[in-house]
Amino acid sequence: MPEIVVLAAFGWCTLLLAAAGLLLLRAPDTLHRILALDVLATILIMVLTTLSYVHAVSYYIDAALALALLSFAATLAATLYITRRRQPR
Amino acid sequence: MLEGLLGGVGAILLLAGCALATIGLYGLLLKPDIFEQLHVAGLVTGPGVVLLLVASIGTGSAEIVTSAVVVAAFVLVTAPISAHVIAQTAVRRYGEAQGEPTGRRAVVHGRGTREMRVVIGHDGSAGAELAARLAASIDWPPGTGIRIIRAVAAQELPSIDTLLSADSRSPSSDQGLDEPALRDAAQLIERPELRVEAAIARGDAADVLADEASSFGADLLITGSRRRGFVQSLVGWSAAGEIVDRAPCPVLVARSTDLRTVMLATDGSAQSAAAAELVARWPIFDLARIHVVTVSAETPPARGLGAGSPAAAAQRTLDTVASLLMDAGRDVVREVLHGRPGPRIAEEAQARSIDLIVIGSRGRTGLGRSLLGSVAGDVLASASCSVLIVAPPPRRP
Repeated sequence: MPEIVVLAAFGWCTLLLAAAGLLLLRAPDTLHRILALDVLATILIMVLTTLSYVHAVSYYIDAALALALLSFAATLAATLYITRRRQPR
Repeated sequence: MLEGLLGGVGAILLLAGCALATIGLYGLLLKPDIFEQLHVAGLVTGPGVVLLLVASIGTGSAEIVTSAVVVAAFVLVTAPISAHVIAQTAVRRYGEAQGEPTGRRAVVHGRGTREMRVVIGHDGSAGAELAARLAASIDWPPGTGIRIIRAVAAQELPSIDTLLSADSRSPSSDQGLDEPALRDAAQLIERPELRVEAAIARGDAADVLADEASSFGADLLITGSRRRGFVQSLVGWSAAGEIVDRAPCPVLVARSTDLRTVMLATDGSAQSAAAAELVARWPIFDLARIHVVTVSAETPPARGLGAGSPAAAAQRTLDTVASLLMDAGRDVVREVLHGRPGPRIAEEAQARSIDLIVIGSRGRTGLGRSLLGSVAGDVLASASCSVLIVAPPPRRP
């Protein structure tokens, strides 16, 4: 891959990360926040992947895998939590 | 040859992934409704990230391709599950909001009789002058006790010890009247049927006012507002916001001197019900015209929700609160607004030249609020009229 394209993609993904942060700050309630965090984690996976292309090493992607796992578990736990909390009354 | 071809394909996939993610994020920032957000978020968490991972074939490194394929497979499995779980929770939430009646029937006390206890925070600024003028313009029920407190930072007046002889936390009224600004404020509010006193206390404004309000048994705390700096507004911090967080009673942030038109913003929560009860009961709202508003997400989802849709739930919430207020003899106008709650409420208040916005708050404090946001905080920050925030008292360890 041309180096310039990889670097541009990396820079762009970093900008997207900032946009996802803005999304998180603007979220009006818990459910929006959960979704925003899910998207934020995905963008972070993209940043790590492009970083591994830039340096031509694979272990950044392994970190991305761990992050994906964690974010999935977090989303499930958080939604379960807000569902459970509202039931006993 | 083959390597060059793979490199080209990889570059195209990489850029395509970035483009899809950008479109997805743009949509997320554009759409406030959770169902629409889920739709566009799928673009980021699905095709966007997978294309980016598949672009690894352009690197020509077996290690990177292997790792990327594993991540891609994992994302392809988990992304739909996450989206499904979030959507399910959203449906359940709206369903519940519709199922349970929200505004409780309040016991309405005899109007115009009950005396109140009010603490006014006065820091000598223009905002505080405004707070005092507002307090002077309000028709308080007879027998109401008003205490004007000036909080002085420890370093601001080094000779404070000579001024405050005994206990700085429970100052007597005489000492406060030495201060010209406080004396003016007290004279402004003074009326035969009211008990007005002024005092100086040393310490952080939010702490002093919270302590004063709880020891005085205050029903209401009135404070001025100050302009915020850029960084402070970015993290959602303000002096008034801090006072709201700490206060044991509802807090009125004064920005005008009238209470003729009042907007009650409600979302069907317990705190909104408390705010509605207060508007129904307090004699100071006897002559006001009350606009009851609730904010629903931009566009209700088309299918699958029926009567449980956000718009229908919003209308029910509104009707419950409006009937509570009309039972108490209030002059009520009701309306459902659409958009992002905080800015939308402030905008509507501006358009209708509302004097005071009354809103419930869950009482999130400090860091939690700056990270997670609060509608009441947004309203306080963006409204140009006075705001009365009804929050649960802070939990003390």
